[in-house]
Amino acid sequence: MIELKNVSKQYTLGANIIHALDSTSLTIKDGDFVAIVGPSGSGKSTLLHLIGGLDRPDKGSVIVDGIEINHQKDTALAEYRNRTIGFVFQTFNLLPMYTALENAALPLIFSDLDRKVREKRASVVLEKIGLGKRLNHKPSELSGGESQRVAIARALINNPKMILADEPTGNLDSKTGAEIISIFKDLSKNDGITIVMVTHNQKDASAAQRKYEILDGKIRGEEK
Amino acid sequence: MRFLEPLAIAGKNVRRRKIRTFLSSFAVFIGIALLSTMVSLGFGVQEWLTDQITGQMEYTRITVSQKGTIGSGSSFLSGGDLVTDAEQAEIKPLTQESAEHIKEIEHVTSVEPMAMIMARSLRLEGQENYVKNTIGAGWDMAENDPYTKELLAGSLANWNATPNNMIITKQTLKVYERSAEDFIGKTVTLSFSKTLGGAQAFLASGGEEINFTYTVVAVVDAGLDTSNFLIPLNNAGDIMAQRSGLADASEYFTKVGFPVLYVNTDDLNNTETVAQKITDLGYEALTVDDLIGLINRIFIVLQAVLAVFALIALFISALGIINTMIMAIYERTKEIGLLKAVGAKKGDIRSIFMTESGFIGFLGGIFGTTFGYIVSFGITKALNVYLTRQGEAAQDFFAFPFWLMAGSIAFAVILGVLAGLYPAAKAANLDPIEALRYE
Repeated sequence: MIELKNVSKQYTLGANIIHALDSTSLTIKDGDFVAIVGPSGSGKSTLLHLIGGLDRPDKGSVIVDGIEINHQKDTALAEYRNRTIGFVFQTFNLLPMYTALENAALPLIFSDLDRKVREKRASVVLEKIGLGKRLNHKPSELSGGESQRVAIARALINNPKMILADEPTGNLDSKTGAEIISIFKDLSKNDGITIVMVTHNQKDASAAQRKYEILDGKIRGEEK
Repeated sequence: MRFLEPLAIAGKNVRRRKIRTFLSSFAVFIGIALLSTMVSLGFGVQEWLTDQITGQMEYTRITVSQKGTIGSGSSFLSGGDLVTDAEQAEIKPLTQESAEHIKEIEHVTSVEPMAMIMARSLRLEGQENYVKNTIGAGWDMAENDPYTKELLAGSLANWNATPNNMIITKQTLKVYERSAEDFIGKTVTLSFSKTLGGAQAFLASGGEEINFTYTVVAVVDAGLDTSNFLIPLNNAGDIMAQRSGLADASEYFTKVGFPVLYVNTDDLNNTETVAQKITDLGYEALTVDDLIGLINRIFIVLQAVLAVFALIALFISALGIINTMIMAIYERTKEIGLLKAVGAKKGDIRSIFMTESGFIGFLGGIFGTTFGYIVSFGITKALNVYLTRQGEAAQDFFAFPFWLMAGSIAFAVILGVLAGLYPAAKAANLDPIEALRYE
């Protein structure tokens, strides 16, 4: 279970102070597929970064499975990102000189696993996600949809508790985007993986189990 | 992250930017090539020179002279010593009596007086050409003394028993361009200025001359020694006596003293102790160890100067690596953000980048050391070609020991790693969110 309790986070942008999150609380149950919508700069991504342990709140606490992660040390947070979280980005963020297999296996480098074990596991995950024939292709040889699948495989490689996706369909056409969303649905339903997805796309958002809207740093309630 | 993992990552990144890696490692290459060549040459020549000099010396022998004379070498190197009359008055001549004193010191086996002789000319019977400004020694050299590297002609047995016998060296042989056998039994005349003493006698021409004649009984190869001849000690004493207005050698040695005493000891382990005792008596005492120390000191200074140039090259190459690595961080900011997002710790990022810069150093080190080896080998070969053309035997100057190879490469790696310290820390401290947003 993910709990945000009275979380505040502000940035200074030039002379302005931006209240990305303003004393916001939210609870996400295990295995939920949650969409977070809202206009640009509403604090959607900040929410994702706080849950993902990439950032710490100014006030309040972020609790994952009863552990207040905002008080963890840097190294513990790195381990948390490695083992508990899988990130999926709008721009895929694959490493250009690595093959699909190596990209998917990347997080396992930081789990101290042997190269053979890493690649074995990566090939299983890629197979499962429909890229069994693309293992040795570089990102430049993959389509957008294929690239995002590699990124999802990378997010899944360490059997994470949750996937945090930041505009995962933003760079894809609607058909490919829909395929990605259906992968998420499947992961949440069949594998019990919690999906937290930030999106602009109303159609994607409506595919989720729950939808929250953020406006001016506040969560405006749950729809559905 | 596993121990060798950063190396695999560095290898990939280095391959991705071949030209840049090549260029930054090229500066390291130049520095390391310079450094290893210099050390190798310095080391090789030093080893050779030390071998040459010490090979001709009796390790158990101490060269004793008056205080403040050639033995100390200081007045030659510093351009004169500042002394007081009182200090000067304390300087004791090396007389027959002092030789006896020294001989009584424990572990001293024998004392051999030696006198350096500077003559205006050396003439060989039947030759129009003569050797001008010649140097030799009056010394009853033993037949088996290591001074003689090789007996080229004649015999050294009891050579000094007969007055007016002379040994000539390979130096003289070279000037006349004749075979060693040709000299045996020939008469040699040494000429001195009657009135002028010291260096003037040596250099000035004209004025009244006095001549002494000798018979050549042996020709020897004396290695690096530049003397032209050796004559018995008493003959040298006669020359000096005559020019000082004294009756004979024995009067000269008693009143004026010997310029140099070779003091032989029974064992190498006792040499330093004996040398100390002689110093305590008020004389200069120079051992082979002192001489090696002096050679080493000169080479240390020489190598330090050369090393400074190499270090400047390496400093510049370090700046090049730092620049390359900072560029790489800007280029790969997003990648660093991603690595952090998938679980890389600060230390992981730091070791990835430090390994990469160390790898650049390693490449430069490998090629630099190889090149240094080739250049050093080439220079010593060329030196030998020169020596052979000069009629000298080829010498083995080349020295490129394993420690130099390993040391140069290790040095280059350390240089690379150190140059990577700042960029790596910069990369490790990047904020992952900003890094991921970076375009």
